[in-house]
Amino acid sequence: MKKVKKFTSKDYVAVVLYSVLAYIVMAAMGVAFSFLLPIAWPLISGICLLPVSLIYLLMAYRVGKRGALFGFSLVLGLIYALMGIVIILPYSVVLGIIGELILGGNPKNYRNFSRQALAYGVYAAGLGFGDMFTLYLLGQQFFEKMKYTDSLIDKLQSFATNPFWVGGNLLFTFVLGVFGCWISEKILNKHFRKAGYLDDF
Amino acid sequence: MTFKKIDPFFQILTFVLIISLTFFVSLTESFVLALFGVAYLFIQGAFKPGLKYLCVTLLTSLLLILILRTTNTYIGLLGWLITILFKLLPTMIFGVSLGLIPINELRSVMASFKIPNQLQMALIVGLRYFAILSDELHEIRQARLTHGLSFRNPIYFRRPLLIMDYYLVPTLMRTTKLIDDLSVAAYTEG
Amino acid sequence: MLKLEHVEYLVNKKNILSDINLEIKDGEKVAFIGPSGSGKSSLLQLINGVATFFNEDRINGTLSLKNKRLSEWSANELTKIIGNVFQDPRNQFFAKNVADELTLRLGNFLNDTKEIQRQSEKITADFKLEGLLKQSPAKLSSGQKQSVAFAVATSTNPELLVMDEPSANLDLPEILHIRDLLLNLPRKTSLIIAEHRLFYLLPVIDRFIYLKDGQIKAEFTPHQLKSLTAEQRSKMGLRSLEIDSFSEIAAHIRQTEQKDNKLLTAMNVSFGYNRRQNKLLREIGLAVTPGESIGLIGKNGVGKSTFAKLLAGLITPTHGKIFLENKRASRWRLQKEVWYVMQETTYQLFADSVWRELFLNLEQTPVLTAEAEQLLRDLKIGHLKERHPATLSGGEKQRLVLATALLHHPKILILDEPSSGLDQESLQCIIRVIRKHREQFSTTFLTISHDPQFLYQVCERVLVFKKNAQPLTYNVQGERYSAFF
Repeated sequence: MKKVKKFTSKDYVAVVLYSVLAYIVMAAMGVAFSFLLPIAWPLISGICLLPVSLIYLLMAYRVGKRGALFGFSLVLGLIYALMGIVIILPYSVVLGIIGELILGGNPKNYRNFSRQALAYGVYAAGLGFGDMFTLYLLGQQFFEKMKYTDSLIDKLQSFATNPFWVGGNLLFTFVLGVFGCWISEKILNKHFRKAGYLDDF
Repeated sequence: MTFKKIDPFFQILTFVLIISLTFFVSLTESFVLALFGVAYLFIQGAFKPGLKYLCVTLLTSLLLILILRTTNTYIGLLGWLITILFKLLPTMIFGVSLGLIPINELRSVMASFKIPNQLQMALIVGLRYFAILSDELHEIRQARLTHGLSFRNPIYFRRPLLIMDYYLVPTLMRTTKLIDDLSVAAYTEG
Repeated sequence: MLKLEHVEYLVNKKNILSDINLEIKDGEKVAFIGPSGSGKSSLLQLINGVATFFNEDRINGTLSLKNKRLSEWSANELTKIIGNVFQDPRNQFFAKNVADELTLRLGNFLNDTKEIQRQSEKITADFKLEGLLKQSPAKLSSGQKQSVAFAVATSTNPELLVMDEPSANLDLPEILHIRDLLLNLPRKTSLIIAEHRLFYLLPVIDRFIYLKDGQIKAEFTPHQLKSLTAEQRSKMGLRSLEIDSFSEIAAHIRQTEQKDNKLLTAMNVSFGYNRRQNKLLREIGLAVTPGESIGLIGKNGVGKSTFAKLLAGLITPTHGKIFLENKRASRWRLQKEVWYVMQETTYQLFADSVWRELFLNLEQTPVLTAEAEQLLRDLKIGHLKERHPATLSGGEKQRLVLATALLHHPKILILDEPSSGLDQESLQCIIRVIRKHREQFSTTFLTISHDPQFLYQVCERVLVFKKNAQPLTYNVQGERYSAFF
């Protein structure tokens, strides 16, 4: 095996485009499931991140180098920051580094399904927890600034302070993340590998 | 009639400044920023997008004011979505303004910032991707219709995972192809 | 200029090209010809360095450009020497408008802003692009895109120009325009072109290289190529050399007897993509009787495809009504009864194998299974049953979507440019299948095409579209109708 390679122009393009697409899918899912917000807030992020796993896994396999997950995380963090949730940007950077640490070491890991699934699961759980993290760190004023109604903030607050829901959030997102990767691996095998999009790497 | 052509270096500077401002401002200030962006567009003679974003800004702020008066949780949710849109508005408007710069000038400015050549191309392509993606989604939707696979089709209720197969997979396939094509084009164009 | 010795090219451990030996001199103009899938495009990718860029390990043998190995050239140097025009230039463009696109390429080589400006003005005048400068490359017609790509590629006076099927989506005037551009190339510029349509290349090319199964099988001078008999040519999978040689091949299509009942009627249909813009289609009327076969022709960008999409229920007309069997048809009904085979068939493939693609959203009955087998055999894609649709060549994809459409037994079948990018053999088998299907099931066909030979063999009448005017009908029989093109 060769040494860990550097990013080529193709990899930069790939990471940027896939991340942008991932954000769009995530946003669309978020809007579609936002009716769940007052009922089961902690579950939403898991559901939103489920289809994203396909995009992530495809990107990770195609790039197959150190920095793919970090770049993915960075672009998403930047977009969130532009939306006004600035705190997610440094948070994403940290998450990206954690993800890279899980993947790190042997360059073969970057094309290894279980490693990637684990890394994505952790990353997803972290990103899903981001909402609550914001609430802890910035408190209610932030959500008031984002024009949530009072009754909604109360509900979110009760979710965030209930250890059952907090643990549930982390676990559920992690499990769905890994499960999403498992489904995605099947879809990747069915379509992309068969179509030769993942060959000769 | 000639319009003022704003120096690309200055453009990027304002863009970065505005983005960093959006991190901290309140809603009213973000409204002012959006208006400033619209004026910025008008100065450069881009009337069509300027007018469009002026309408969007006014409409969303009107909606926001209406929504803030209710106490209903679900309408409150709508308020959250519109708030996010509102926060993004200044960035979008200044992004459009950035898009007015001829691409090679943009590159030379980026080069003067010592951004690596490969990243420059990725950023330019990233900016263009939104327009390409909307065209692609359009075509894929029509192709789905020819197969009778619109959302009315009951198969999606029986096997929800098919949504991935028929919505996400084609999009990803096209994106992957696009990445290949664009990087080849970037390669052949230098 | 360029020298290839014992070159092999592997994809998925299979030889796409084997034992290629070739030498191209300075200023020589060469064309690669041969059936689809013969490796023409791959050879071009080898030459312009794209294959090296993807993966160097897949190439064996020595390739040298100007006595220096190709892999030793840096990307930047290579782009100075080689100009590229791809088959589908859509994804070749980066900029927001044509003027920017030109300056982007020029800016890579020239530093002086004034010099860039002067050069770009000169090219604009040379290629008559004045009207297009402010337009977005994505919104141009295929022919305009091709011209722009050509202008961009030649703007820096490359020593070698590489073109991959530039005529694929063009209509006749546009092809002739490209021919003129090629004729005006400087003498010292070498040209390498891969192409199916040969008639326009005869005056341009010095040497035709015939490829089959990834090997160079023969070489012809234009004169030798002309002296081949039609039989020999068709055996080699080459298209005809003249624009309007109908008598050469098959007989004309059987005429249906005129019936009074109408299958599909469009009344005063108008459509515009943009409210502010002029309407693309203005009060178009059309009546189709059952079992008819109609060709839709006209310049690129007059709205043929848009009209077809309206009839297929993919988009809604801004004004006007469409009737199916004398009843006002909703979009949903149109989608059910009318099958539209898109020009870009890649979008229409969803399944993970050719066989499953056929039965996507269609129940598999024994009758249909037998029919599907027969269709695949007739269209010569039977051996690909288990392949993933995305791995097929453009022509194979087109035939697959055609097979899927026929299997659904729609009342009306609309084909958008089915003949582009096909070799002679595939073209003939499509024609045979269309005719057979018409005899058996009396399906109505509407065919959009720029290929007079093809239309002559499948259509009874043609509808000529013009900008902002009612389309005119001409009967195909007996008329020398290349005049319409």
